[in-house]
Order: sequence, then C-alpha cells, then structure tokens
Amino acid sequence: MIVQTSVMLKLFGAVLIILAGTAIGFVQAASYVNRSKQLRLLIYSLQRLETEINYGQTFLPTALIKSSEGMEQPLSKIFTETAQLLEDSKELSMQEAWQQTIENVWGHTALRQREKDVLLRMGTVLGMSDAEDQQKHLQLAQLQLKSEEEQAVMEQQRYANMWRSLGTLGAILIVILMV
Amino acid sequence: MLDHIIHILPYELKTIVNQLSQHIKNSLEEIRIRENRPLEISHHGSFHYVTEKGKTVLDSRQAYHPTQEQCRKLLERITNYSLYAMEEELRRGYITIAGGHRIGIAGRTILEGGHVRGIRDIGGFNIRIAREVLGASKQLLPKLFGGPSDSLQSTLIISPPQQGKTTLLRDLTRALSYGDYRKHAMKVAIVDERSEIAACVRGIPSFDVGPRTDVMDACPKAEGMMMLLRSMSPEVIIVDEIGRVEDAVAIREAAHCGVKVIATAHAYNIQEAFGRSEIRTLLQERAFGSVVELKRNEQGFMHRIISVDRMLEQNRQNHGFFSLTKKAGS
Repeated sequence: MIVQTSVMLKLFGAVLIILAGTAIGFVQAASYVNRSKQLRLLIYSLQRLETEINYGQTFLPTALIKSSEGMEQPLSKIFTETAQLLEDSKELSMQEAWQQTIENVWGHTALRQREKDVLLRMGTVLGMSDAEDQQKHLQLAQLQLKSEEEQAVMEQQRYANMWRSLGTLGAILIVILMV
Repeated sequence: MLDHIIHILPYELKTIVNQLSQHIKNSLEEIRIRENRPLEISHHGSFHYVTEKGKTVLDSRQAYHPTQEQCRKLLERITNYSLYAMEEELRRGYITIAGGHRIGIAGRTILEGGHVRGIRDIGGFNIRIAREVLGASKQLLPKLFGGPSDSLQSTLIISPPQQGKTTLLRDLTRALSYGDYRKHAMKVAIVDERSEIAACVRGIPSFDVGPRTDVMDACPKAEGMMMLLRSMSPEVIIVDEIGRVEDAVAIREAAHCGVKVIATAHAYNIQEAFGRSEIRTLLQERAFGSVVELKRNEQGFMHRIISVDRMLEQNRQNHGFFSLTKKAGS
C-alpha cells in the first residue's frame, strides 16, 4: 500500500515536471511568434502614420491615434498614450512624450532593444520637419523594422518549433535522471 | 485675452508672463522670444526686457534668456506638434493661433527655385497679441452711408501701420453683418489674405465677424474677391491692404456687380495715398465713394471722412494740391 502511494506520488511529480517543461517551451516559442507579429503590425501602423502625415496633413496627435487603430494592445498604447500625453500635459516635448511612453510600454511587448532604438530615433524628428522629410524618416524606420521582421520570421521558423519540443524533451530528461 | 498665449508658452515663460503686472498685461502688444537672447515685450508703444521674476527692465543683461529647448517646445505647441502641416504658414512667415493671435517666425529659409519654400532652424518668435475692440466702428459706420439712395458707400480706409486699421475693419464687418446700424444685416464677405481680419484657424474665424459673414482665408486678394463675387453673392466685400494692379481690377469688377467694397491701404494721409498710381486710378474712377483717414490716440480712433467727389472737384479747381504728389508718384 505504502509502496503504491510513493509510486503514485512520483508519477504525479513526473507529470508536473513534464507539463511545466512543455509550458516553458511554448511560452518561449510564443515570444518568437509574437515578436514577428508585433513587428508586422508596427510596420503597418507606421505606413498609416506616413500617409496621415504626408497626404492627410493631419495634426500629429490625431494622426497617432488614427494609426493606432487596427493595432493590438500593448503596442497600440505607444501611439495612443503619446497622443494623450501631448494633449494633456503640455509640458513635455514630443520627443519626451514619445520616449516616456515607449519606456512604459516596452516591457509588455515581445520587441527587443534594436526595434526600440529605431522608434526612439524616429521620435526625435517626428512632426518637426516638412512632409517630405517626415516621409523619409518614416520610411527609413519602416525599412529598418522590415529587416528586423525578416530576421524575426526566420528565428521563429527555426526556434519556435525547437522550443516547443525542447521544453517537453527537456522535462522528460529531468524525469529520467531523477528516477 | 492672454489665455491662448499663456497656453502655448513653455512652463518657464508661462511663469514669467503670468508675473507681469496687470497694467502691462492689459496693454501687451508683443512678446518677442529669441533663442538665447533677452526676452522682450512691447506695450503702450514702448518696449522692455523682462527678468526671470517678470519685472520689466531696460538693461538687456538682466533679462531672461529663453533656451533652445524652450524655443523648440514653443514651436511644437504653436504648430500642434506638426510642422509638416504648416508649410503654407511657414512660407508666409507667421502662424495664426486660436484667439486670433499671430506669431511671426524667423530662421533659416529653405529655397526652391529662388522662392522661399519654408523656414527651418527657427530661432525667433514674435507673438503679436490680437485685440478685439467691439464697437470700434460705432461712430464711423453711420457716416459710411450716403449717396442718392442713402446706401453703404464703397470706402477706402487709409492709415499708417499700427493705428488699428484691421481692428476697425473687423468691427465694421461685424457691425454690418449683425445689422447694428439700421437693422439691415448685410451679406458680408472677407478676403483675408494674411489671416488677420477673421484670424481663421482651420477655416473657422477666431473673432466674431458676424453671422452673415463668409471668409476666404489665406487667399490672394484679387483672386479671392473674384471667387467670392461668383460664389457667395455678397453685398459687401471687405479686404485689407490693397495696392496692386490685380486688386484694382477686382475692385472694378465688384463695382460693376453692384457690390460695395471696404478696403484699407497703407498711407500716412490722403495725399500719399493719391501718390500711389493704382489707388489714384481707383479714386479717379470713383470706385470708392469716400476715403477715411485714420489716426489713433489715447481716447481711441480718430477719423476724418473725405468724399471722393468733393476731393476730385477740389483737385480740379486748385490743380496744384494733388498734382504735385501725382508727379512724385508716377
């Protein structure tokens, strides 16, 4: 009876470890999938922003809100919160508001430092030059993000599946070692 | 009145302007902000520098020096963070903000084919405070009616700069449009080439120019007058600062259509105005029924109304009075 209980307990523990391992693997895999997806959305919204600025001549706070439509949280927050800060405080410059929002939101996204640098660099000129120049800067940012996206897709193909199986297999290895 | 201006100033400048004495605030005409140079205001026709505590001084070294960052923030707020949407305004060199205040800007110009396309590296701002003086035209308005049918006469208002021409013109517009005099509200149209009369922000007038008033904003005067004649069937057209050949053509066209024109022109007095060939031709053709000379003093506006008929008659009789200036002008 006692022997049977201990076997049951061990079995239960093993199942737990395997589940946890699998979960870790999936979470890791999801971060790759999310990153490429968020990058794609970000590029779309920058395209939209470019149109609003260059052809629509929309004022920047409105243009930011319009470009955030169709994007998901937390990414859309970068645009809406910046617009909000500009409308409310009136004490921050555009660059400061942009920077502050990105710092706040970044932790909740699957994006990395390189993309952050691209956006921050773009924030230093956003709004404050003529339409032609704005277009150039926005296109440059899109180009840079696109190359990040291509890399992200490649990484996703390579590592997402790997992590999914690696999590489970790793957990099984641990279980075997422990037995 | 200063609310809209306080609103766009960066924090440090906002504090300084708020500390100015009430007396100065009431008569503030300009705030001049130049990057890293003394903060200057003009009021009552004189100028002062302003210290960090909001005191007015005459020694520029004691004055507050706005920083580069403050200037950048000011520019961002004036343009609503969207310099790219202000290309037209930058080409003209000033931006009109809510409340009708105009902000002149100076910096390095961008040229394209020899013409100014815009301004970058903006380092100087001149905030001109616009004041709406309701009732400024009260005394003048009844005197503009006359002639055989006792109707409104086409009028040319002449005065030196800074004497309140635009303020008077704006109030005339408002009064005609509301029908303040004789209860006959007229259809009024403004060609506001420099966005000064109605001070439109995105097409909506900042000033009360009356319920029956249409504004063609930022439009060349001659073209605007023609467009309004065709599109808005006005009874009166209001236009600022005439003087070019095209303007004269458009005014003649308006006269043919039976539309009255109230226009202003830069000149110290009627002799000087008569010296300008386009204006002289218009007067000789009797495109205007009367001329108003405007001066401003402590009490308010001073004006002298001259009937064009009588003036030309006089000129013919003692042909020496205007002929001198005529020669000088041509």
